[in-house]
Amino acid sequence: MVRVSCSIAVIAMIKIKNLSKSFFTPQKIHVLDDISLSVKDGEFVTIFGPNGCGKTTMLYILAGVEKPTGGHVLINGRRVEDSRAGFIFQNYNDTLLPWRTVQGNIEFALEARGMAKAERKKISEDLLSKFGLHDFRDKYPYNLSGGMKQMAAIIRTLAYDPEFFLMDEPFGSLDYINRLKMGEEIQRIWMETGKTVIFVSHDIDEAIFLADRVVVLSNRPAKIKEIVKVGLPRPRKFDMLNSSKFISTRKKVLKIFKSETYEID
Amino acid sequence: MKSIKKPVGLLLPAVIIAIWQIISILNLVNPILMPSPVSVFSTLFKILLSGEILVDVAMTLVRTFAGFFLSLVIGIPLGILMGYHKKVYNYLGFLVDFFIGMPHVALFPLFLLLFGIGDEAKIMVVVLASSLFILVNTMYGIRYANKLRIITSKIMKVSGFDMFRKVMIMEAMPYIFAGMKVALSFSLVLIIATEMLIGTNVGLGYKIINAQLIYQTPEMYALIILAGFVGYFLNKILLIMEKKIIHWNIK
Repeated sequence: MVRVSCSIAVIAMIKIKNLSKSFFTPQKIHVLDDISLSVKDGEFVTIFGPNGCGKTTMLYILAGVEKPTGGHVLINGRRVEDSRAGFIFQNYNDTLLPWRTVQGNIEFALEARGMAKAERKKISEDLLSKFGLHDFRDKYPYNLSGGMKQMAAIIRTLAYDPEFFLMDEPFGSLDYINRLKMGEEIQRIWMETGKTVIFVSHDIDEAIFLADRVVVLSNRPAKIKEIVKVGLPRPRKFDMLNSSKFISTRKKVLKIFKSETYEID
Repeated sequence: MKSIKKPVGLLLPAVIIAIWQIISILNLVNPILMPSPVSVFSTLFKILLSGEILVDVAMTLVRTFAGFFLSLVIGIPLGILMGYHKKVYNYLGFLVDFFIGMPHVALFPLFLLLFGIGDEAKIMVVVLASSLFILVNTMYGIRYANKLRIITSKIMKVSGFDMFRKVMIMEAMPYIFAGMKVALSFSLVLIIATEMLIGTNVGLGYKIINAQLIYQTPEMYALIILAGFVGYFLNKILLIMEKKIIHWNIK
């Protein structure tokens, strides 16, 4: 168990300092409470916490779509508004544009950046081939299965080459087998691209399997309860779920998490 | 396995026509008031064969489309404005709700005063009604646009005109089409109604009222049925366009 403070900020890619967020709707809802976290370049951090504790809000702040009430976030020393996040949602049905083909969706962000058509086409077709979706490039999202839609959403995010990834329970609505497959796939993509990932999950196995560090959050208003380092070697395979190291880490995380759930009782 | 589509929709019309024919044979109603379907349909056939009516149908359609397209030009931008800005809605909401609910033909006399007895007055009645249907639907289309898709687009740094053109308008499209369907039917109805009143001697409405005035009831009914078919086909064309353009919404 390692308590990580902001002291390793020398190589911090994402630096979250004293972040707080409240909503006024109109009664005050305190969602995030004094969260500080430094994420190293290329690190895979999962955020594990109770439902409705503010994990999504935290990602929205990191993506620049939501403003914090207090504290600040720096991405490579710059404000979030000036950085480029790759966001992957749980609800892939509502994030792909249904009036665009798979390829059209993948090129969407590139169009917004004013990239030339030929260049867009090359990038999208390369990625489509690489992830086995090339035959589906002219299909619309409603023609695809859930796993394929999420894959298309991931490719779309890869296409515009973000500085880091934010993933909000991306496999939450997939069945168990597809979840396992996508977990390995995400690990592969992460290892290949070397990009920093912050991954929100409420599945403890998934959270540990993917992470270099698991950040355990408290109930709302969310504070960081504990940060658990996962020492499993890479690349991880799913039979590691049975390894003694995995199980001991799982016990540790569960113990922290349980102490939290009992607090509300 | 696909089942063969049976035209069950034609069953009820056939029954109605059969009942109508029985009533005529039994002489239950004065044939001047309600001629037999045989005489009505043979009259319709004759009218179509002579071809003269095509001029009237064409004129009615020209007026209908003039009003309809003008309504699109006015309704869509205003609807977008009202959907985006609560303030604009606060200012215009009451007026819109008031005018959408009123009997629009009742304003025809006013429009005669304003625009004269030519086609302009007729078209303006259509514009008043249809543009409001399109406006209201467009407004809801913008307001109920999928929030998650907008957030995704924002994160991908899509902004300004691109956001409007490639996301918002597409989001509103199913609603705009719903408005267009109501508006087109209403446009035809209102044009035929105003043609019945004053200021023209060509058009389906004029021909219908004329047949009624000289007690040519078979012709009157034949023309009413013809008007029904015109409306039906207009709607069908929009439905086909809708299926093509907003394919994702059908699935």
